[in-house]
Amino acid sequence: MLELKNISKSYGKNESMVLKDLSLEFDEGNCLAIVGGSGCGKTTLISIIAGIIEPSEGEVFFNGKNIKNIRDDIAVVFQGYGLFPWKTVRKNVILPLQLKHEKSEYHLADKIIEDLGLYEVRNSYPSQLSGGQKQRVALARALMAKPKLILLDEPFSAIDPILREKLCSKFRTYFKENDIMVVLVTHSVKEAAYFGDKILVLGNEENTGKILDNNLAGKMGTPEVRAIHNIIKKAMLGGG
Amino acid sequence: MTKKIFQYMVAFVTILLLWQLTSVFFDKNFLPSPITALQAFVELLGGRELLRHLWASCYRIVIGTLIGLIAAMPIGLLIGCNKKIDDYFGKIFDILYPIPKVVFLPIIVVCLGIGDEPKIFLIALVLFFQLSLTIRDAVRHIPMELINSMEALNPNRFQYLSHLVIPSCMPEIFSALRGTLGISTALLFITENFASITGLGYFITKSMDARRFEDMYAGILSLALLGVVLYVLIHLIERKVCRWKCLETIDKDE
Repeated sequence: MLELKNISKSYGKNESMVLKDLSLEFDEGNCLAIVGGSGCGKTTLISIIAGIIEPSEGEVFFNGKNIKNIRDDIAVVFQGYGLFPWKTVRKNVILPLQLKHEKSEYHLADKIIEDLGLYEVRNSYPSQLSGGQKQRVALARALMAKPKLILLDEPFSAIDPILREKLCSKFRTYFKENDIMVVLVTHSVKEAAYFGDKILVLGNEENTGKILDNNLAGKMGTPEVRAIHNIIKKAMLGGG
Repeated sequence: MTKKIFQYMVAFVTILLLWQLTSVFFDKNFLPSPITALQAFVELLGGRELLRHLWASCYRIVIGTLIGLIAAMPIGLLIGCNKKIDDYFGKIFDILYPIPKVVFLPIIVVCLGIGDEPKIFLIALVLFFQLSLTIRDAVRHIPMELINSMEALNPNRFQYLSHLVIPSCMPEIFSALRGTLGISTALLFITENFASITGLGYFITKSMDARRFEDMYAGILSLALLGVVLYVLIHLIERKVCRWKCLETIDKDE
């Protein structure tokens, strides 16, 4: 279970609060989508959950333990993918194993490279890849950390709409099958509705967050799904 | 690659032509034609004297560069990675960096004697300051996205340095090495003219004093050749070490 307890974050002494007293509980095996407009604190929140930045107040727990003590259980895919330009695709993917000195597990990296259709470009550098390929490399690297919780920060933003839907569906299935809890940050209502079993809507003011249940996750294009889109939009605007 | 070689050949021939024209225009014995200078260069290479001086200069500049680089790496990384250390010790670099180190040559010679040591020390000293600041700035400019990405993998300090900080600084280090090559060669010339009996700087000045202008130009050509060879060597190592960066440059050029 992922628990956020009274999370607040402000930058600098006189700056306004990015997040204010945000609390939520979220069950394992599910996908949580965090949706909101620019500057509403989505990336800040995901960085706090990842343990990369400290909240001004509050704590984050995963399976009852403070996330500061279980960093190895959490993997992050950043918005710009965060691939190291000096490492080839394969070297980027095996990095988590290399850092943990698990050389015997390298075959798993080769398998995931193949599964994600990256075999042809395994010796290429990130600068030689397309947006979709970079995204898959970042995801493959995150999975190599064998996480129990994976955090995705706008992972599909740089990908064309057709490929985006395909990858969204592929990854959602993968995470469900492998029992990995996912927190997805997005500004896209459509993506949030497709991915999130629960949707945390962050507005631009009073960022205490609003949580919506979504029974239609994994479905697309139906009138019911479009109704969910409208509910999310209303919540984003503060009217829901 | 073939196109690049052709471009260099064209540049080389243009330089020779300009030299030839200048030589004809002034018609002075201190400015022989490039052919005369090249003949003297080839003849002197057959003997031992020029090679001895060339070797002495090569040894000093290579060792000086290596010492400067090895000393600058930990210091640059330290002040680049640690804001508090930079706040205090970084200021020492900011004050000392603009001072031309060559003014300390007499003191260095008094302390280290007239052998290779003062020449190597001065080159290393100048490179040390240049490279330390380059590395510090390169560390400061590592994209936040890559820092977050590495921190999310929970590395230890050594892994953080070896997988993120050092590789990200390498292009700037090579760029600085290439940029300082001209300064190092100039320093070499100056130091070899100060209480010295070996090196190309000494050979060039001695030839000029003796009015052996062909020999002098052979010495100048040797020094230029040394600079070019080192430049190419740095470039080749960079292509090997920073292959990813070279590919990015090629992609942009195309």
